[in-house]
Amino acid sequence: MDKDTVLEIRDLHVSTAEGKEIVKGVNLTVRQGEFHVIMGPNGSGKTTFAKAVMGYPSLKVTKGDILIDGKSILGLKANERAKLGIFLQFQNPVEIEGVGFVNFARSARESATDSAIDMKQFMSEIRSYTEKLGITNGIIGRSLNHGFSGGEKKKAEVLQMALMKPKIAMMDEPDSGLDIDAIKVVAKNVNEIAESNRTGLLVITHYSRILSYMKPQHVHIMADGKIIAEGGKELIDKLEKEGYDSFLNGAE
Amino acid sequence: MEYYKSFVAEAKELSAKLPEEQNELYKRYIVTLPLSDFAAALDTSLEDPEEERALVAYTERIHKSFGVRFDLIFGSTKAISTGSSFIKVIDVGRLTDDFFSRKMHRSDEDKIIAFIHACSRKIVLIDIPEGQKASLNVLFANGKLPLSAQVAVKTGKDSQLSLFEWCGTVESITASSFSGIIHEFDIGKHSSAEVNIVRNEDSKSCVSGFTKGVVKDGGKLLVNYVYNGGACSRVKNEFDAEGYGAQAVVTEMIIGSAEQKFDIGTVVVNSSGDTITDLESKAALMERSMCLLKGFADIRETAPGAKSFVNERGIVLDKGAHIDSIPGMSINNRNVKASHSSATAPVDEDSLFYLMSRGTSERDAKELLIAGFFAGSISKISAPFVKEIVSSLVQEKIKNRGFGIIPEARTSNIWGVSDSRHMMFRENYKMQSD
Repeated sequence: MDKDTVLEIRDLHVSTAEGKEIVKGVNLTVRQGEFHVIMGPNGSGKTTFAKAVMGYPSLKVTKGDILIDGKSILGLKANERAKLGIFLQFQNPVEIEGVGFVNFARSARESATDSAIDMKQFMSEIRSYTEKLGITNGIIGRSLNHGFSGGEKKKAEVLQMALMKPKIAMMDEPDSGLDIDAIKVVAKNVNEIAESNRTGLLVITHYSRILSYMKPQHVHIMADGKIIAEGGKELIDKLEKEGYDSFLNGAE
Repeated sequence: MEYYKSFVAEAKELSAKLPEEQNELYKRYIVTLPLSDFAAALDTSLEDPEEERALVAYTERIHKSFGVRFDLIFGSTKAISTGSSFIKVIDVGRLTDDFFSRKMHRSDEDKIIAFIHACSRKIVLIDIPEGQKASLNVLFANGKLPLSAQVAVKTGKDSQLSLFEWCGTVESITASSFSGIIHEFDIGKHSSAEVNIVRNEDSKSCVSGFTKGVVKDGGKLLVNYVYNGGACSRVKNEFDAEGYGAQAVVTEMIIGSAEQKFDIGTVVVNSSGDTITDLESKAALMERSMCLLKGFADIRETAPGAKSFVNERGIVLDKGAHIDSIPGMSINNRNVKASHSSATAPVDEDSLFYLMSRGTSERDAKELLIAGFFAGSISKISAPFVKEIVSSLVQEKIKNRGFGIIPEARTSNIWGVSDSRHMMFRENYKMQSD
């Protein structure tokens, strides 16, 4: 493992609590500051893969390993993985009534860093990102994701990423539910946040739309729980022209 | 005392025959209060010479933790007040067989009510005259002797009342003790009352409460209950929006741990046109605690345009905990808006995962979720210091699964009277003569 490797996935097999295998042997390495994309049709196992890396309790890793900085994290809970620098932007963030966004963000930052934060400075940081993301201050004062529109939820997730400063950020469909202007804003901010923190990015998406505003270096095509094709940005162009069928037929 | 003993036995037997418990469904869900356990406490010490000292010490502990000063401190036999003109304490006599026989006939609707009536030595009257405003804090505390309190609250036309009641236990008692409080609210025309009642008796206490509230034309009664303490609690409340346009809004928060048992039965009644009743009950239970939520709305034929809502929610944090919520409605007028709902579930796995994925420990995440669960209810409390007390109790219960006074509560500036906190007790309170 070279010294820049942050996340290493070795022959990962993941099953649901009912025993259905969803991820069927994925290998992936993400180095510091690298930008990876996983694309695939519905039901290919992309979200399950991301949740398994984050430590979703109902998913069982039946084979293989997940390493952060060379150490296996399979025995760790989600909060312990977060402390090691893994971040998951949820496709459908849950709405939690009564838990204020700022209190939650403060608690998350303090948990991640194991230290108390300067609230004044923290609020100033939040304000700076809300301006960049075009988030109205209204949602900051509200309960976590409660009553947020689809776009507000995605932006609030990016805001959390900015505040957490992770080593690895997995973005699960950061563009779904966003209009074209919002996609540009989210893409621009994710790029900037990742660059400034040298965050390894792993974007999961069906469509190439958001990737027009980002610069992925590595593209992985996933189908039926496996990576069936890997390459550079040229794979996205091929996907645009030929769709998933060409990859699926090729895989067979 | 022979009469008393037979009364206790009778009360235990008859407590399962209350009117609403004739209901086939409700009668399967009853927490029986072990009243016979308290005979011993009364037999051995009808007077507790240490009670005044214990009440003073207990009040000072609460003062230190929360900064609250009480207008009335009400124990098993003693009552200590600051002399508020709105509060009167009436001494109704000593505990005698004759007293029992006189008092128990005041109400035979429920033998536990009769039990409290029978044991009451003093009655509290809170009377807010027409057009006046009052903000009052009252402490009730049981100890070696059982607490049996009757509280009558009357608000005159266009008056306003904010009443906070802390119900606790003076000291660590070795035997079981009883804490029973009966409330009668008479909310006058166009007057408003907010009543916040925290039941925080200790783990050896058997807790009982009965409330009968009546709201007159255009009046508004907002009652927020917190049931946090006691080994075994049984509560029966009825709130009647009796006058035209009257409102009765009731919120119940139940937080259980260990082997705590709660039986909370509340009825809201719309008796007149354009009245609003709203009953929201929320329970979060841990370990092996259990709760019965029996919320019932009764919309009378005489209540066209009435609105009534009953909403029961439960979160079960541990496998051994158990909630039965049984919302019910009786609608006797076609021109009304009414709904009832009930939902109980474990802590949502996705919500827990979401919070933990941001670095929050499982324990802290659960704490956040429970705090969030109660946040909407706590927000209905207007007094900031009561909000803080209730939030502290919820946090303490979830963090340490304990209850009682929070030693390290952050309560500075609650009242802005921190300098006076350590003033001599006697300078602030005067004894109500026996």
